[in-house]
Amino acid sequence: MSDDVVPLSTMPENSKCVVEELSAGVGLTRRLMEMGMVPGTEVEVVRNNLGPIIVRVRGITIAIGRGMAHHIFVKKIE
Amino acid sequence: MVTDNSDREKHRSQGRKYDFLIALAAQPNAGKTTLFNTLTGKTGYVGNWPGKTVERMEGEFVHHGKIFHVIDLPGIYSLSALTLEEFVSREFIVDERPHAIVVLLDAEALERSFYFLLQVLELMGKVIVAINKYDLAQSKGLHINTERLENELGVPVIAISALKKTGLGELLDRIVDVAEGRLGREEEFRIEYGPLEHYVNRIENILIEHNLFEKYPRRWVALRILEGDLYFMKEVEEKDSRAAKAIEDIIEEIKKVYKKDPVEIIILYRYKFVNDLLSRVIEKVRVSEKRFIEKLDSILLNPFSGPILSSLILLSMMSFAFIINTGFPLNYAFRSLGYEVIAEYIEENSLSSIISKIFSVIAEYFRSVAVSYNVQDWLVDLVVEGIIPGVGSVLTFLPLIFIVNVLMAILEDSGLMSRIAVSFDRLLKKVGLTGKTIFPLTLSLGCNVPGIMGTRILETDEERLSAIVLMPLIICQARLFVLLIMVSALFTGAIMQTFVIASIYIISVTLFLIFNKVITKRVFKQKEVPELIIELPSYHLPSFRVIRWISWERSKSFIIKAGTIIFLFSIILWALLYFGPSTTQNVEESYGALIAKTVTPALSIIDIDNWIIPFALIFGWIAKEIFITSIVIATGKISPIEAVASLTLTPLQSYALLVLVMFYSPCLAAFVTIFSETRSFKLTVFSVIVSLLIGFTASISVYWIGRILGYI
Repeated sequence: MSDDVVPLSTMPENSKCVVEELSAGVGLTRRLMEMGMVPGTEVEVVRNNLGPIIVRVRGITIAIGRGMAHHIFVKKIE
Repeated sequence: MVTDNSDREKHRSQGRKYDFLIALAAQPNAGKTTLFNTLTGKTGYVGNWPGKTVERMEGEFVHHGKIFHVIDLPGIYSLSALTLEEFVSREFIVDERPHAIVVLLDAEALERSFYFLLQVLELMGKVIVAINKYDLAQSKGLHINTERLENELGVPVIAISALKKTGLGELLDRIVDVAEGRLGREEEFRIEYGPLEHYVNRIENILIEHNLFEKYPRRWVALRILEGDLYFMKEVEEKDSRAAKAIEDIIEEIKKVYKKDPVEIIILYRYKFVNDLLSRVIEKVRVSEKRFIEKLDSILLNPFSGPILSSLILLSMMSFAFIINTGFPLNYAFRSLGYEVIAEYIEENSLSSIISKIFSVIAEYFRSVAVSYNVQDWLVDLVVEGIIPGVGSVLTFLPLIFIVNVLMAILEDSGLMSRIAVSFDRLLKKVGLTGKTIFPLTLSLGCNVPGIMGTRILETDEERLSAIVLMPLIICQARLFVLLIMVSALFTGAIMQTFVIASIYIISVTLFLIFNKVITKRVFKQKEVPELIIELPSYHLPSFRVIRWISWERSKSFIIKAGTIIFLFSIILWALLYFGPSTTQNVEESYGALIAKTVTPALSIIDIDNWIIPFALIFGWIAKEIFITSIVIATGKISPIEAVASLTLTPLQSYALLVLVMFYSPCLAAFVTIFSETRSFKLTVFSVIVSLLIGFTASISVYWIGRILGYI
């Protein structure tokens, strides 16, 4: 993986990124993909503090547990 | 895969005749319950899927002289069999072959909605698409070309508002059209999966060759298998190991060639299809400004103010429910300020007091009538002391359960629920639970029964079962009632009393959290802490019509289920107290008392040798407030506080006993609910044993640590 691919959990608030890879457990990965977080999708990080990360994907807002967010790899976009 | 529409014979459901069977399908938050309620009105009722703990709503409507039986499928994100709800839904579609499926889309989350629609269309073509909340989306600048959409999908599309009841006439007309075969697709919808097509065909052929899954569209099953559907794969393995091997080889080949799991490619293609489709049918999108209410998120989702505000919301909701039901804690507040009159007024007008008054009036009236007709004594006693209080205790549950159901439905409908779950996630994660557990926990403070049922929202089995088994540790209102009386009778001074009450609640929550960590890990072998994934829908003003309906139906189904058993046991209790080996009608010589006396020695460990206490503990199992009633009956005193005070316990004994009473076992209603929710007698008994062990251990520890420290 190239340098600009980082875990979603490290993205600052109000930043945008593109999903590269999801590598959590099968069930959780599929749930997220079904909610629209497939590789290539643009994601906006709404909130990233303590606790779950809040993102906007395809017009809906999703809260994702922090442990899960460590396993979602994204590419920053400027 | 098309049902015969010329079939004019009436179909049956639970003895009722209807012309057409209609399924209603949607993702969560699309407004499906509102649509269901609008369509079926008063005919709708809440039950369970046969043999499952998944809620099932059914109802009817009549249009153009035809009776339509509507089954509301659970709100699900997809038709994979990841959850019980999804499994139930797709089996229903395949087995029952409804005459039409209404797929409700959320105009505010179009992409996700269309993704779901495509999955239904791939399984069955007889679909009517209803786009809900279209008025809201329109006000944000969205316009959908429904005509073009109809042409592309081959099924009718209608823009509606389930809440404002617009577009419903047309929806009903189209349902009739599809059910009678004039509109809709004959075949399932087909999406091309690019490079996977070749593999899909190969699997399809294997399935046909081996005569597997005849009732399903084979292409759909092939896709499901590629998506890693464990249910289908297991079936293949069981029926034909050669076919299973061939399919596994194909999956391995895809993984090798594309360096990706096929599920990823499939979902990607489906979303790509959705994007292309939407780009053709959505005519203009203007980015709307954030509504003022959305600013609430900056407080609710903040890691510091979030948990505080969420706690406040839940706490005020529960206090509201408590105050209406028993007057607590408002009566205490007024009493401590010196307003005795107001405190009494609140208590007397609380629902539980009004209901118990009604029942005592009925009992007295019955007794006087019976006496004038010379009815036998035991029969009068059975009715007045067994049946009427038994029915009464079931009915006193009803208001609280109804109020709690209403409050929870408001939270759910408004969009607040998922925000509160997020704010509690950090804390609950530490003990192996996700933030969603806060809801069953809060419900349990009112009554463990809705709390146990409320665990249905939890995602993983380990999480859910562990929460169910330990739920009885949460102090419910019935135990609060016992706690208040015992504290008033056995402890003196406002500070001491407050300290005792607070400490019991702290012990309760602590025990729940600690044992959850232990049980999820050791008993249910949870491998990793479940992760929260929850959608935060936009805020909505809840529809009170729908909330009133669903809360009432849910409460009713509880009363029917639990009520019958509670009723039966209250008659048994009465018999145990009424009859005894000797003919003298003395409670102390009844069978109940004799049983209690045999277990009295067990309490010598906390230096209690009075048979009344085990007697009250045994009967308190039926409903915790009976603990007090039993003491009143056995001591022959009139006021509950006097009765408890006459037990002459030391402060330390009192506290140890209090701990025991609070935690020793789930009550009968909770016991029954644990069984009906887990469908496992083993787990139900396990829950009782865990509670008994925790209750006794905690009580004995408190007593002996106190003794060692020099208290008496």
